[in-house]
Amino acid sequence: MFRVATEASGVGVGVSVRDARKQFGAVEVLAGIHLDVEPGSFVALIGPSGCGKTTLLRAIGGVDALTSGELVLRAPSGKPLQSSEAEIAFCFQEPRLLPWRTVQHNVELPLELAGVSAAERGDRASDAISRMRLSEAADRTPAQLSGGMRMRAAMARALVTKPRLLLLDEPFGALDEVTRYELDEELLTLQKSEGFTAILVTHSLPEAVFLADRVVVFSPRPARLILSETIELPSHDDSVRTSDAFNRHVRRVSDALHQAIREAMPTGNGGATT
Amino acid sequence: MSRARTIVSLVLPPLATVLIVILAWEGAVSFFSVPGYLLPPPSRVAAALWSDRVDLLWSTARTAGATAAGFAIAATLGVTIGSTLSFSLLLERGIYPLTLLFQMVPLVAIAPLLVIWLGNGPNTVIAASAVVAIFPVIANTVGGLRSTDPLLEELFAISGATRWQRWTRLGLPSAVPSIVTGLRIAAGLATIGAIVGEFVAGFGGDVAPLGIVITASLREFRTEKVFAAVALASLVGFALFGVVSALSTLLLRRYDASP
Repeated sequence: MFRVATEASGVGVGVSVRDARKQFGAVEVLAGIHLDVEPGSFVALIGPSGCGKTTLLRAIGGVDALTSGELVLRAPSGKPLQSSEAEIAFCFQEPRLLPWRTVQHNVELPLELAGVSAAERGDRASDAISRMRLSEAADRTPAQLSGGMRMRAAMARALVTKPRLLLLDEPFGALDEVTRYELDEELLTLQKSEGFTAILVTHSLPEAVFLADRVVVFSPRPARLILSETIELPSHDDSVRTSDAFNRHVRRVSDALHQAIREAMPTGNGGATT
Repeated sequence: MSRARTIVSLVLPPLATVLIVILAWEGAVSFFSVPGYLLPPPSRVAAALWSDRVDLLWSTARTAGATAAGFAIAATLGVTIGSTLSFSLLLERGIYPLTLLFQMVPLVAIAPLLVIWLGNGPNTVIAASAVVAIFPVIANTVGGLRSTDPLLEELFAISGATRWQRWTRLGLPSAVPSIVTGLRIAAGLATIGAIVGEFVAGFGGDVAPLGIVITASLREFRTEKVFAAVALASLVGFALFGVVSALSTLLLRRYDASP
């Protein structure tokens, strides 16, 4: 299903997750998660490796089913949406580009699969590519791009469908820090201007605080929600990364995360406290 | 300049080897006075090639035609069957191991059966060529489709791609390097299949194909003509392999995923 979102405001889809549980065989991964994501907001999920953040993200995207629990996607008006109507796009840690296609044709792929005409998808892909400042490389293949440029191409491919909900699974985790900061800023600018909802899984606390309106911290597996930190920053340019407000948020998230990890350790005074 | 030098350094040594072998052969035959019906000297083979050149040219054309047809059928049908098998796990499990087993069946044993079903003539020759050549194409198509990057598979699944879209836009392009390897093997096998097919079913028609030239010359003790026909049959194999390799290089330039 494909539908064009008409206006920037009111594009974003809201997500509410109630008592989400997920079990892989005998292993409990999600232990009853409640999470509300406002339409048009940017939420970051932080937690120890293997805690189930990605599992939750994939469940929200409709890739994997939950074992139990409720997942509702809503239009800004409050009307519930099928996941096929919600126009969800994914951005993975790997760019996942087709090696034999140019950037242009990689970005066209989602439209091609949705049956959009060649002329229209060409225009829209060019537009998405120029928004990711990659126009000069449109005719190159992935092998001819740097890591950062590949990620830009993957972002352009995610944005070309005009998503209302963008799910990001550690998209910039493999990039060097300078490139990462650059892409963080561009992602944020796009999210604010286009108005889609974004949910980001990341291991980087500064990245989470910089990008998100709200940072949600998970405990080690089985994941429970242990902190929901609303982020208020004076500005959103790069200089904010050294501000006191920024550091305070990072510290609070970091403290909560470390405490949860300590509590989950089997050894310690009195044993585990799960 | 350097490219020309590479080609020279690649082509010259094997050419020199061939020349030395031919000279040594010629010398040894005359030195030990080997009778011509046992091992004719290269000069007599060349003379046979020249004196029968018109007939041999037509024979070669017939064998080449059958080989090309057999190869084309094996390539088309092989990729189709391999793709169909990989569409369904049940089919793949049930049939794919059997196609591997089938490769072990000696074709010479099947060829007489083909004569029963298809009669004498070009149909049986083409069928024999296709039957031997098809299995590496099937195996490499299945293998190539199996090795598709699972992360890209997931991307297509999430994007709601249909089976057809997955096959044309992801599976086949990913499988190109493997399929191309299968086609190169098939090119050589198609020639063998055609010659064997001609041994048992090449009769009929105005022009005898190379397989028949070989068996007929053998009965007449014209060993030099057997050699000439074998040389021409090899040439057919080389030519087909060359064409397939050239096409492969073009395809690989586009579809080889390794950076």
